Amino acid sequence: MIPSSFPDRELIAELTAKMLLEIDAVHFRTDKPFMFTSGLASPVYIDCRKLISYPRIRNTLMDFAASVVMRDVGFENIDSVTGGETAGIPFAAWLADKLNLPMHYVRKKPKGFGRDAQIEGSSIDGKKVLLVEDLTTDGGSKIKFCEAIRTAGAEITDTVVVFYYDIFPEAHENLEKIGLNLHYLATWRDVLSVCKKQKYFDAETLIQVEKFLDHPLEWSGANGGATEISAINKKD
Amino acid sequence: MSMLELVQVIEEQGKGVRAYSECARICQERLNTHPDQAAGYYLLKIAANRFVDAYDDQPLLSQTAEDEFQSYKHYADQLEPLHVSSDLNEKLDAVNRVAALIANHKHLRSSV
Repeated sequence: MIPSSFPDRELIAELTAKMLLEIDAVHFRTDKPFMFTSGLASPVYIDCRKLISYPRIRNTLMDFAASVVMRDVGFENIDSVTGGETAGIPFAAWLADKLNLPMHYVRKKPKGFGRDAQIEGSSIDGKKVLLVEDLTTDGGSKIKFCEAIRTAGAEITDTVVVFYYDIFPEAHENLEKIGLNLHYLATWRDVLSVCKKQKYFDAETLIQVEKFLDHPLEWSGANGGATEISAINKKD
Repeated sequence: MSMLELVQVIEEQGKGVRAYSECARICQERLNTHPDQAAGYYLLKIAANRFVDAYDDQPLLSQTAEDEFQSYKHYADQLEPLHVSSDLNEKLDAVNRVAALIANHKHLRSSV
């Protein structure tokens, strides 16, 4: 069913953060940090793939995503909801269903040859595509997906994710370079805010997490990780 | 660039998935431009791509990344005879040894 209500952005962000915490998708580790794709050490990790196992939560989040897309992208501006392999695929399927639109998915690497070698589904040539992924860190994965979608002849100007890190200036630069508008439901700041209000995690952990969110490169360097984000490879 | 210089590329780029992806790309270039060392570069490309496949979109702890880096460095060390030796048996031994190591390597999933 196509949703016709448009919840307030702050409410969407807070509820999304609460849901992610409720299902233990949020992980904070200050002693044994995680490593991002870019080589940065991080005390935070979020596993949005867990959402697929919680139908009430995923249904609500997809209602939110549909409302964000219709409000910010438009009601008739999309011909295809296209998921990015792998985590974006189930979310694209549910969102396409909500919006009553065709669904496709885009592979990380070509399968075979030809313009459509990374696209699964019917041809997207000449279509306006919305790219769906579970999250965005520095926008790196969007570059290759956009290239593949454009190579297949489609137009893409917008992407929607459940979660956006919103801590790397490079993300804005990367997305701007490829002409992509980012839409999202919640960020780390929203999660941190709920953690503080509802006493998730201990105080010292939250202090470290906030330090990382404020100065991710410095925190990474002090904890054995890279001090700059590695360049995104143009070719495989 | 020798095999060991590939290790430097990974180290300089932070030992994350993107670094291994770049390393695999360089290996592909090198195996075309250095046919006499193609087997070595191909093995290192396979190992780099296996890291990418194992940890792209997956949680990766810094300690696991360091352990994986040491394994990769060991492969490159073992393949150095391809670059410096003129003994064909020594080269073949190195290639066989590293192929077995890569084939039997188990990537660990970081628990969160």
